[in-house]
Amino acid sequence: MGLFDSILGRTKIKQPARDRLFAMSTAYITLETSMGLKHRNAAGIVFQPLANADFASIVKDTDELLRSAAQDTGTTVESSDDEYGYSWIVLRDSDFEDLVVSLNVVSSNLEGGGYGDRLLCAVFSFESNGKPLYFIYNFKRGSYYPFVPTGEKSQDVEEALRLKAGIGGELPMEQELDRWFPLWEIPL
Amino acid sequence: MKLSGAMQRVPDQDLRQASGMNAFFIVPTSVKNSAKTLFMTHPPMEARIARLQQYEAQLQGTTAAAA
Repeated sequence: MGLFDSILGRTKIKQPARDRLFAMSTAYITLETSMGLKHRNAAGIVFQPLANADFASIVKDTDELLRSAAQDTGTTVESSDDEYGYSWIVLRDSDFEDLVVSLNVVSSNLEGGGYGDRLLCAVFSFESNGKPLYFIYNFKRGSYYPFVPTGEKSQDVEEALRLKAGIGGELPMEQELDRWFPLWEIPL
Repeated sequence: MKLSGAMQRVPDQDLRQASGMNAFFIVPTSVKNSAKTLFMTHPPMEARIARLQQYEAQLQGTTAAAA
């Protein structure tokens, strides 16, 4: 950060490191053991599709790749579109690490095709005392934040802040709270 | 400009709607590294919130969170 930038209050946006998504494959153990969360065998990835043949063929190849890998790992794959115009790939597997690896297959395939900027977020599904909560990974920011829905359009911010304090340095967390955008009606 | 207090809040707007609005994040929401902090009589709201979050992390025994 140069002197000029600091005078003008400019901040440089970090390029997200690709291995940050993988931080969840170890952090979930802390979430489960010390914070009493349970993962719900599901994770999803959200992206904005482009209406061209190249993009469609990448998505189709990725889908086939996931489904063929699923024969070994037992992961089930569902794809759907939502009313915001985004596509979801929802993966279900009791092995959490398989979920992280499968999500990475999707994101690296899209990035490899030059469509990394279409990736919105990855979502990991947990529960605490039977109530659902989510960790959202924002690809553009390269960071995670918790989301605790309590109703159709309401969330428990206090619980989310408590989760952030509890996970500590194990996950790259989004430090700016005004970037903790919710995802209403998560299909997992 | 009294921006600093209003900015550090968890939004209710959906991420999918907000990502279409990215172009409108024109005003820097963070005043942390700006020269304006030199003329403040109090630490900016985000510094105070960060301190509170640090205390919360200490209470939960995860001091490493202070990053």
